Amino acid sequence: MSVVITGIGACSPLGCSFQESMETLRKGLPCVDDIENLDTRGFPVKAAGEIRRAGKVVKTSREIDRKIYFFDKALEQLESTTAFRERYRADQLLLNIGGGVDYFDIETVLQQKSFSPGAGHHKMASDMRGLARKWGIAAGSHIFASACTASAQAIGLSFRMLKRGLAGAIISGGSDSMISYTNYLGFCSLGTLSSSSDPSPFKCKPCDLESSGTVLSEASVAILMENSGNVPDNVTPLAEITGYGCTMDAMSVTDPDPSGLTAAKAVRAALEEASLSPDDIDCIHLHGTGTIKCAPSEYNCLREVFGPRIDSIPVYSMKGQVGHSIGACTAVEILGVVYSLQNQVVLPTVNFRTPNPAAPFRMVTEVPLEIPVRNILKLNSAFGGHNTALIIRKWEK
Amino acid sequence: MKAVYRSFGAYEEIPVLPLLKKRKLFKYYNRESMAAVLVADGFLKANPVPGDTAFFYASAEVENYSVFRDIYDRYLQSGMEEFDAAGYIAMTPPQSQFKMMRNMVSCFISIENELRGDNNIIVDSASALLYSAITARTESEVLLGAGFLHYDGSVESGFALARPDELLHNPLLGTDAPAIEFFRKCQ
Repeated sequence: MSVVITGIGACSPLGCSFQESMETLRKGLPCVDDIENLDTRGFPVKAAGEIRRAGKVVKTSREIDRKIYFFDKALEQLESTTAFRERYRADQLLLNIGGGVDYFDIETVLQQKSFSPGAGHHKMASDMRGLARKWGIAAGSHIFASACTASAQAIGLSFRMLKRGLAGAIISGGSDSMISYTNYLGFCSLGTLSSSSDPSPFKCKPCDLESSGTVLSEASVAILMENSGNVPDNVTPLAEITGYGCTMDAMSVTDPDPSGLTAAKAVRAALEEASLSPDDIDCIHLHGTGTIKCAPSEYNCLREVFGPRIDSIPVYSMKGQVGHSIGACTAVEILGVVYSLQNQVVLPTVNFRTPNPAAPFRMVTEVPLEIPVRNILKLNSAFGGHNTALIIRKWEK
Repeated sequence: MKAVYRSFGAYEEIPVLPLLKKRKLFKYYNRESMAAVLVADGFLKANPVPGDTAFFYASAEVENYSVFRDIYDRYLQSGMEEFDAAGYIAMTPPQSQFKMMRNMVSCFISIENELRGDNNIIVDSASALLYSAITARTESEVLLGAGFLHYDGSVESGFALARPDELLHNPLLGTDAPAIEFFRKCQ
């Protein structure tokens, strides 16, 4: 029995449905621009990937925590496409979701001129439990928060639980919005955002010599994971998850281990679990944030595992197109993995122009590279030193 | 299974600084980090573990409150009555962002104790903490931890070393109980 993905509900800069997301990936349309849903007067940087529908930013009022609002929409899509509530009893369904920092509605609190416990504080875990109740999920509601690897860890745990038969089906994925005053400006003060003088859609340049930082974004992605034995005959899984590995650098709170050695252990663990050798990997979907230290560290990690072959394996980062949604980034990037598997291509990395000698990856540019894609390595890492590796395979009965 | 649980009062000193190998990181600590690193230090000195030990940690829901309170207090002191982005950046040190990120406690413990194995960061849930430990790809003991920073500044901290199979039938699985409950029960 295999662990498979049978449906995805998604609200992200790529669009507000699975089909729209696939279409935006196919077209390679930039999804980053100047922020529309916040008043950005006084912001030193204004670029972000906001959730869009039909190319237009979906705006909400400030009282709304976007990572909860859009995750509700993603669950609605997932239910309409997979009928998970008809197929599983509530006590068989479990929620494992990557999230981020709680939303703090600072404007309202300042207007009220008083501060009490809970004022303006939207508690993610409580609100997610509310969504679980609303959507008939009763076997547990679990939120993970390791920053940029939160949704990878949520998906990884879901994979492990399903493999052990500890749940009937799991709705995994991630939901995070960095487009709030405290989150966005907090990251500004960390100095991690792109200082590129290019207009907003071109600021995030993964693996590029001229990369200067990342661009924040938001996404809510609900992924239905289940054992293949429970999947009805008329449903074709989108992909199969075959391996997961996770390690910790234990070195710095901000920077990845430049040697990539601990991240390489996560990759090896995932390959071992999938019973694959490095030669079986057809392409790699990178973390690829666009920060200066990310690409060399990822390259060193992958060189450690793949040896000189890393220079010929096609790689891809979605963040050039959509930005970095932190706690939801792996979940939204699973859409890119599914696109690669379904279309047998490696997509071009948007905004990549100039090769970086410190990370001489085989980047795909201009047009999709058509190759047989059976096994994809999905790599992510986080502030704090977490490294994750997922192996995702084309579904074959 | 071996376990430890400690609580600290709202104004009680948490003397962690002298123990730290990486003292420059202390500026990023909040009271949950201080308690957790202190309690983990004692626990792991008594029960040393290999560096590749899996480590799963859960924070409570209200952890972000103290940072939000700091932001609000700085606004009050500045006399600004409306939100102003430039003012926010000027008043908010980068440390605030680190104090908000829920994975920092685990990061500090990992750095101090050179833990580089499998890991997961959980918000609130005992069930998620236990499932993470149960499904770890090891038959050796795993390290579990949880913290609970209360609104008044009091803080609870707990750690345990357990084999995954010891946790398989724990009654907190599938419940909404906070992770610290697991350690309160271990007292």
